[in-house]
Amino acid sequence: MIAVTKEDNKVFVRPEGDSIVAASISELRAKLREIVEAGGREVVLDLGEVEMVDSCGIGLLISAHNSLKKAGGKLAVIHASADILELFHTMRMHQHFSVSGK
Amino acid sequence: MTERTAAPAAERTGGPAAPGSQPGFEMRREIPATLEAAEELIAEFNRQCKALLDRKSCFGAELLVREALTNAVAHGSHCDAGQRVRCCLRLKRGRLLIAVEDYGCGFDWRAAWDSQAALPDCSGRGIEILRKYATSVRYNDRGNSVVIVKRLLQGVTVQGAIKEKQS
Repeated sequence: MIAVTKEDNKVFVRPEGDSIVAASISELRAKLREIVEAGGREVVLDLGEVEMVDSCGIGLLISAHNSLKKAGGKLAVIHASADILELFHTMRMHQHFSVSGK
Repeated sequence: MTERTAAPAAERTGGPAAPGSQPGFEMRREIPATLEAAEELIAEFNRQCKALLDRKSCFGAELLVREALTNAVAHGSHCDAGQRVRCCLRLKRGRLLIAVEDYGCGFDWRAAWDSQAALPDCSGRGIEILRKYATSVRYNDRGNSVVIVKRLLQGVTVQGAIKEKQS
């Protein structure tokens, strides 16, 4: 399940599973694509429930960032756990989009 | 580099260490090459890890197992349920060993090893994760078998048979 809420110009996306990994990524990919195609430009991904992101998950976030940037929008990640925050910094994700922790 | 294989076994073996011995476990499995089967194995691995390791160590251990299994299942075996992936996951004396082997044609790990995904690239980060989270990574010549070691209780100092890691 993925919770989507809108607030002003921002679309908040909150995956309710505990991981964004190869085996479970298709739903989130489809949801992000749907949001961009519907005109969403400022997407905030809330990782409050997420405990693991693998290289496929990182690839998905980069892809979403690329699509939003091309359309004049942006992606932000909030409420990342300490481990995911460290992973994102190690993989230089913070050079693409805003990343903040819990 | 010496060619090495994943030291797998066809049968299910392993489990927690005997009472009084050094805490650890060993899991030897052969699974269908599907992401669902990999997830089941990872869940079992996580249960073992959470009983023995702190949160940060568990995260790093799970991440390495995920990357190794995903590579074998998705890239090595194209998620073909008719193919098999063999693996050995062993935690002993603060040293985690992850050995994974598929039956695919392998890949050119020598070319991939030093590469770093360009910032906008959506893929190509699996090996970079191995490079940054593992203590050592060793492939066989063909590239269908990998042995990853992570020292969990001590500092990361060596990066495999390939080269020294700048820590």
